[in-house]
Amino acid sequence: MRGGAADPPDLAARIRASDPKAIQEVVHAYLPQILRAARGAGLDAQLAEDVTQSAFGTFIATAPRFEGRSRVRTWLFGILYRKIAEARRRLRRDARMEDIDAVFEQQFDASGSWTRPPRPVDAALEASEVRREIEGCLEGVPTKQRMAFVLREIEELDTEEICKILEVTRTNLGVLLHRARTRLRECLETKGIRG
Amino acid sequence: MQSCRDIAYLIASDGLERAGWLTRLLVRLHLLYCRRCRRYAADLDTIGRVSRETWDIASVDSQTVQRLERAITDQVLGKSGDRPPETSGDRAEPSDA
Repeated sequence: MRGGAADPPDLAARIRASDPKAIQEVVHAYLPQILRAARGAGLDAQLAEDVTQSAFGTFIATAPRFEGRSRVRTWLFGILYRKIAEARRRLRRDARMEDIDAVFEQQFDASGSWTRPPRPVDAALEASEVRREIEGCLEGVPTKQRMAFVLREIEELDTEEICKILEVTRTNLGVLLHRARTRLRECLETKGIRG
Repeated sequence: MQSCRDIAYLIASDGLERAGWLTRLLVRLHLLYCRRCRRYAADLDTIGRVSRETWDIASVDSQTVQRLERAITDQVLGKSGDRPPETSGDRAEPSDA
């Protein structure tokens, strides 16, 4: 059930029947991933725990409706994404930020060549304090962009699965990833994180 | 001919995944001679790698996982009123901690 492997063939039916053992197996297999994604999405430790528990609560409550058209993991991450969006809305974490598309465009001239060339970040990013800077830089990134980044870079899910979780097209996912990475890169540059 | 802007967008949006073979070839050639785009691509790789390392190490505490698993399992048992067999796996059975 873990990682990239497909769900066992009878799992959907067992979940639909609210088989306690099947649900316990799902919790055991995916709880660390779900908790990590909640933290990666910018929730503090306590809120990440609360959201994780709430996500599994919803999973258990809605188990009889699980039709098995997607993987259990996809379904769980979908529930988690909606819980995180709710939590961040309550915290008003999605700060209004500058138009990141304009920031990206400003790096190029009319012919599409670099006007402000990128400088390397490799050496500095090894330091642990810089990792905290990354967390800080991700703080104001809108939830959907941040979840796209977390699911791609941290959970390493494939495009199709992320699109199902976030309910977006492939093109939209590309825009979300581009904006999240551009924000992160610009923020690190602003903080002077350079090699 | 693709511009640096086009290449940077393709890289940052994971657009190469769904690009045709010709686009992928042109991007590869562009990266061979364009130091700036190469650096941009390397930056994004580094940011992704450091993010993975950060949340792998910092955010998943095994005691927290065990405590949460116990709490959620109790919720399942509360609903069913019957304790299921222990789950096999590579982690220890959750404690009451």
